[in-house]
Amino acid sequence: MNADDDMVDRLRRIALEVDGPPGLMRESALAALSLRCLDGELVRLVSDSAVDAGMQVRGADEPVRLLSFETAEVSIELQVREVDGRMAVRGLVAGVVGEVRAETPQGSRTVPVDADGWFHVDDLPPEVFRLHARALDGTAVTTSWVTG
Amino acid sequence: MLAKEKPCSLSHESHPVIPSGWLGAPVRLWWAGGMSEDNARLLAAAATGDQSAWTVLVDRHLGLLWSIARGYRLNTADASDAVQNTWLRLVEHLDRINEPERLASWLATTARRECLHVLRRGTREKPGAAAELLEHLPDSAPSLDTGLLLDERDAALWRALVMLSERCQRLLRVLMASPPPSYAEVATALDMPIGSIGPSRQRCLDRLRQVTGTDEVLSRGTSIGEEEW
Repeated sequence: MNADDDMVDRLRRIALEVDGPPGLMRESALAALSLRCLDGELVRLVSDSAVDAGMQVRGADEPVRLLSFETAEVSIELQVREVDGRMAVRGLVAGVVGEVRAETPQGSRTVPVDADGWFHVDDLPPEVFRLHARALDGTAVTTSWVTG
Repeated sequence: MLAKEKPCSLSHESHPVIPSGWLGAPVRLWWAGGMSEDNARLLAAAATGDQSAWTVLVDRHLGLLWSIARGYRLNTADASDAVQNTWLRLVEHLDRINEPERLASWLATTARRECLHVLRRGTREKPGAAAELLEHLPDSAPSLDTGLLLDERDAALWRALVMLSERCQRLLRVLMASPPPSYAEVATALDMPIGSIGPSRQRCLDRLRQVTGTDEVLSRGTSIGEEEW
């Protein structure tokens, strides 16, 4: 144990006292396991304009984030906008029947898909969401989490 | 309103790849004795819904993730978001962690990405700001609430941290994680070569000693060494 180690240990002790992990954060972390479920197939994120370009794509008036998810049978294209601090999602699906369910850690909401494959979900919490749908063969599919 | 119902799914996406051949230097005692096997067992158990196994994994790594988020100078709300998103990614990947012995590094990489994502979100209103993201982080973060500290020297040391360069603050804050992270984990958390962690740590601590040893600098409250370690 040298002087540098001593100093880091001292800083660690101080950090725990004045800047330790909030208890609420631990509670949320413990609850995260309940969001796992074992049925369904993933829909892989293949592109994200926020990552690809490092910035949002500029739409007519406001930034729009574009995301694409794919499996062999299903594709989901999303346009995500921020509206008044919430997320508004417009999506186009292919290979999906019925409805799309938007899930957040707080709950979920189901929206219809029109004949052309479009759907939209407004007023999602800004933090994180994912989408759940059913492929033509009945397989459940889910996107990975999209963070706001 | 969102209806309460049980969400159900699994998913994956490109996940952090931990370079093979990394050593968790310096070797630390608590990693000895089958931690990797233990991680593998805990991950497998958590994947079947075992809450107690998940609790162990959370408690084992929460301090590291929190320190990473604070190292990126996220405020409490943003840091909590970044850390929670990291847990959600792990829940998605519970049965896809190829190297359980490097779980902490996987989490560190994921946390770094989530932190950068949160920071990017904060710069949305300012196109072009992203490139300078890391050098001009928000000032809000490291808690300066030293009222809890009984020892005035500790309080002075903590306050002196903000006078270091951004990179030093980030490095030291991650090194302060409890339990202490390995250099491999720190390297992945900060996207730095593992070989640079030790020398950088030494330079940053030397700088901290300089700052705390100079009352004039302390009282002036200016940042020094902005361009260097």
